[in-house]
Amino acid sequence: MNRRNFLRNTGIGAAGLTLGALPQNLYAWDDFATISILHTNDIHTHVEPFESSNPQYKGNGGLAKIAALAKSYRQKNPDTLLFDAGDMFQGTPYFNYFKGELIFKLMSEAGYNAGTIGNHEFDNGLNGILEPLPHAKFPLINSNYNFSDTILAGKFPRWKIFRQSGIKIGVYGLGIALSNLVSTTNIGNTIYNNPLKTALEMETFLKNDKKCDLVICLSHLGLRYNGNKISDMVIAAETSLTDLIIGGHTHTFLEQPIETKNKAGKPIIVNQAWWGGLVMGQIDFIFERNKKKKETVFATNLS
Amino acid sequence: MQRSFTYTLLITWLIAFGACKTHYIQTDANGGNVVVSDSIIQPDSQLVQIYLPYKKLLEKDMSRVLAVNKKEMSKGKPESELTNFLADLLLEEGQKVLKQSGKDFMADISYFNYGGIRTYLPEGEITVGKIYELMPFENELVFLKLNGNQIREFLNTVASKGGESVGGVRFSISEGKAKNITIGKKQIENEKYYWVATNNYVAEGGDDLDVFTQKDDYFKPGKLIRDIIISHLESISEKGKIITAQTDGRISYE
Repeated sequence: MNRRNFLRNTGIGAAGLTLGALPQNLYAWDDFATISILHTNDIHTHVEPFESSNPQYKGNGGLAKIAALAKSYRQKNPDTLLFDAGDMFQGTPYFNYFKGELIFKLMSEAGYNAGTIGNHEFDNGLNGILEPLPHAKFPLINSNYNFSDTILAGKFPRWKIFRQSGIKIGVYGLGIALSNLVSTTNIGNTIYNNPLKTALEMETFLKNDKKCDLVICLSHLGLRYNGNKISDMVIAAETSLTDLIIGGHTHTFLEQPIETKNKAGKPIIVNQAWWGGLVMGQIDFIFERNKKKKETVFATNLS
Repeated sequence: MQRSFTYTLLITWLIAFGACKTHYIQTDANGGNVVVSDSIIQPDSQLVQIYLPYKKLLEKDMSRVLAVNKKEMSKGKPESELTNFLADLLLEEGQKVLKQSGKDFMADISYFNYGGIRTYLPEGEITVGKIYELMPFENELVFLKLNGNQIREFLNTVASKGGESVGGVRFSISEGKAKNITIGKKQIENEKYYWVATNNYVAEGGDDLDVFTQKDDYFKPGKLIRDIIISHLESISEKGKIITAQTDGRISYE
């Protein structure tokens, strides 16, 4: 069976199931809320569209277009959050000349709500992150690097909760092992902690303790590898409370977000948006206000 | 170009973990990956306004012509015009740096990791921008003092990769190992010390070069590799010359 058709058919079927079985006229529209998650990764300081002379990417991509797209989505739905999964730095002379300053300024103007730390963020050492950081008007969330013995101590939240129309969205961040990717001088005293252990801790904290309705992981681990190297697909399979993994690092082009099963056998979405602003991921989570015996209503629908 | 997918969450999960504690239940998820093509949308004008002054500064410098290249140079294995050109340049400029720094030793070998060479050099004018494409990383020049045995191990790694960018040394590859190694036209001596000019990335063990971390001594003068390439090309032009490079059999198969 053709995968795309399968997904399209499922889409129609599922919409029929949820909306059709719960006739909308029984519910006021404000009983529904849509949280729109937009995301990028591996921008690599591609602020402009790729040159028209570029044979592969001519005129496509770039942060300036992502910004325009994100703003238009946000106009349609104010409950839109824009995230980045790391490697904002390195890749065009804009970075060599202006370091992190310009990309942080532009991502702030584009309306990013949060980002996470990729391996190339270390390219100019820890000071190369610290110096331009005041230009980032959004947090860089990371949960598994320990910077406490470095000049970056206290600069990055381990998690953050966003509230949109009464819905709590908890976000945590995972960074890749640095030792084979970054020079030891640039790593300094940064400590890398096990991403899976961190993910399990963070998702339990955000969903159970902080009562988040949605838990999102911003990851720079990479989508998947041969062998047992930790990746987004491993995190997806081994966690139980994370709803969405927004990935990066492997510059993966995905036609569709990946739906897979978590450790509890429940659905989780894993996505990645190529690189250089060539793709913007978009996931809408639709919520319904929980009135009276809503769970019974849903249970009925499923039976 | 947006595709849609949907799934319904299982209600048992909602009851178990969230439904009775929260005001909302997630019922559905849709989405897709938007390909940011040329035609889909125009760049955001506010962003363009912010980067335009930066772009002007950049363009002024990036379009500056450093030198003229006689013939296109691409990277290849076991050796190539581009890998030889860069390694020879590093060795020559490395000697100048050592002299200026008052060091009493010379560099014997130069080395670039193959993966760090990011593009080719086209025929004709070579601009600053092209050198940024070639070497986008902020890697620094490092000199490493290694004994003959360690040099052998380093060259075995180079041989196992089918050859990379080396200068000052000649060898043949046999069964994935470096054989018949000569350094400065003399046979390698296991107990003798040699100095290797390279970048800090491999000096710290990157690209499987753990042997570099076992160095006896090192010198890091604080110069960016890219700046060294730029000043080398400028000095060629100042002499009224153009850039050329040859393959010379420095790495061959037995």
